[in-house]
Amino acid sequence: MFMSLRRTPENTVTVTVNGQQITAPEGQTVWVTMALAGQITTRKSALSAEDRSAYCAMGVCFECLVQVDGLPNQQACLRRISDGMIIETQQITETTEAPLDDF
Amino acid sequence: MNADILIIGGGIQGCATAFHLARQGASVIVLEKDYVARHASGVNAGGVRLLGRDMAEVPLSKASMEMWQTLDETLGEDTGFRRKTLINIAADETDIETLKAREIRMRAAGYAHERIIDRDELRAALPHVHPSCVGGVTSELDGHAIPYKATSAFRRAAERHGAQVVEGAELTSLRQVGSTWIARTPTGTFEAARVVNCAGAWADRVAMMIGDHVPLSHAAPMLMITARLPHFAGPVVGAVSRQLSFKQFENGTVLIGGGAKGFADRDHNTTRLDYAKLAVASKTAIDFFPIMKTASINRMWAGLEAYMPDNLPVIGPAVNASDAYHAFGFSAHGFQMGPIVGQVMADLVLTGATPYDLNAFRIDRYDRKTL
Repeated sequence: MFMSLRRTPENTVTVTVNGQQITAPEGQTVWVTMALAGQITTRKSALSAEDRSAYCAMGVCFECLVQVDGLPNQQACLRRISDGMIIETQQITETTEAPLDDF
Repeated sequence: MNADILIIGGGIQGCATAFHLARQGASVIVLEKDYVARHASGVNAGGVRLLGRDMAEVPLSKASMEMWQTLDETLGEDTGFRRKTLINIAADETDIETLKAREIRMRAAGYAHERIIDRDELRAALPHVHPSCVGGVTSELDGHAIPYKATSAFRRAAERHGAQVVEGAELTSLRQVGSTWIARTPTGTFEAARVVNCAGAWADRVAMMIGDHVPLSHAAPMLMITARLPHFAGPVVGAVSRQLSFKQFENGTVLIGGGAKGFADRDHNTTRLDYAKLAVASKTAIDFFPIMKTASINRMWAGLEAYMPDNLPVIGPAVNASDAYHAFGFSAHGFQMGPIVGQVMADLVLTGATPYDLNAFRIDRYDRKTL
C-alpha cells in the first residue's frame, strides 16, 4: 500500500512493531516505518475501539498516537526510530485495566 | 431590583445558599462579578472529602457528605458525584503514628467514619501502589464530583425556585442605609434587607464594605489532567504527609492535585502556572504509583482560591453590621461543604440560628482583644 521513494538507505536500524522485526533506514519516523511494513494501526479509538492511524502525518492531529518502549501517547509521525525500539499499537480504551507489573 | 436577600458571589457557596433560601420561599438575587463557577468553584479538583477534616469542620462536613449521596435527586440535576471512597496513603511508620494519634482524638469525639487500613488492605484496594507503602486511612462515603456541573446544578435549582442570578455584576459599592442594603454594580442597583458574602478570593473586599476586616489571603492551587490511562485506581488517592492527591475518572483520565500553588493575580482575574512545582507534583505521583510514569499530561490550570491563616472558613454573621452574613475562605477544601453551608446560611438568614457550632468559624477570631 505504501512505498518508499528513498533508494539507498545508508544506515539501518532494527525495531520491533507488534512483535514483527523490521529493519529500516535510521532517522525514519515511526509511522512511516509502520506503514511500509503494512502495520497501519497506531492505536485503537478510546471510545469505539476502532483502528486509528495518521491523518495529517505532520504532528498536528494527534490521531497516530502509539506506544513506544512502553510509553503511550507518542506521536508516530514525529518520533524517529532508533535501534531496538519496541513499538506497539496503543490499546487504551475506556474499559482497559492496567496489568499488574512487577516492580 | 429588590429582593429579600442579596448574595454576593456565584460560586458553590453562593449558589447553594440561594437554593436553600429560594426553596423556602425567600426572594433571592445572586450577584456574580464574572459568571457562575468562574473561579474556585468551577476549576477545583472536585474532591468530595470528609477524610482528614479539621475537628471543627467534621460536623458540617459529615452532614454535607450525607447530602452529597442524594444531591442529584435533591437538585434534579447531574452534579457528577461518584462515591468512590478515599484513601490517604501512609508512606512509613511515622505516618501510621500520625494516623493513630488522630484516631484517638476522633474516637474520643465520637467519630467513626475514618478507618486505618494495613498494608494488605491498601494493596487490595490500590494494587498499583508502591510496595513500600505501609497502610493508610480510608473514608468510604467520600468521592468526587464535577465542580462546574455541581455549582451550575445548585444555580439552576435555585433559579427554578425563583432565585435570580445576575452575572457580570461586580460590586462598586455596598452600603446599609437604614435597614436596606444597597449594592451598586455596572449592571444596575440592587436592594435587599439582608446580604450574604460568598465572594471567595474577593470576600475580604466585600467584608470591608460590610464593615468587617478579615486577614484573608488568596493563592492559585494548580491541577493537571492526564490523557487516558488504563484503569488502575478505583478510590480517590491522597497521602498522609506528602503533597499527593489524584483521582481516575471512568474515562481513564487522571486528575492530579496536591496543593502546589502557582502565581495568583487577583486584580486581573488570572493565574500563572509554576511548572517547576508541577514537575515535583508529577514526581510525587510517580513515587507512589510507578504506573504514572507512563502518563501524558494533557492540560494544566489553576484557580483563585481564598485562604484564612488557620485554613478554616469564615461562616457566620457579620460583627460590625446587622443583617449581613459571611461564608468564604474555605482554604481549598470548601467544595464538599457547599451543600451544608448553603443550608446553614439559609437557616442563619431566615431564623438567626443553626444547630451547628460556628464558633471556630467566626469572622472576628483574629481581632486583637488588647493592643
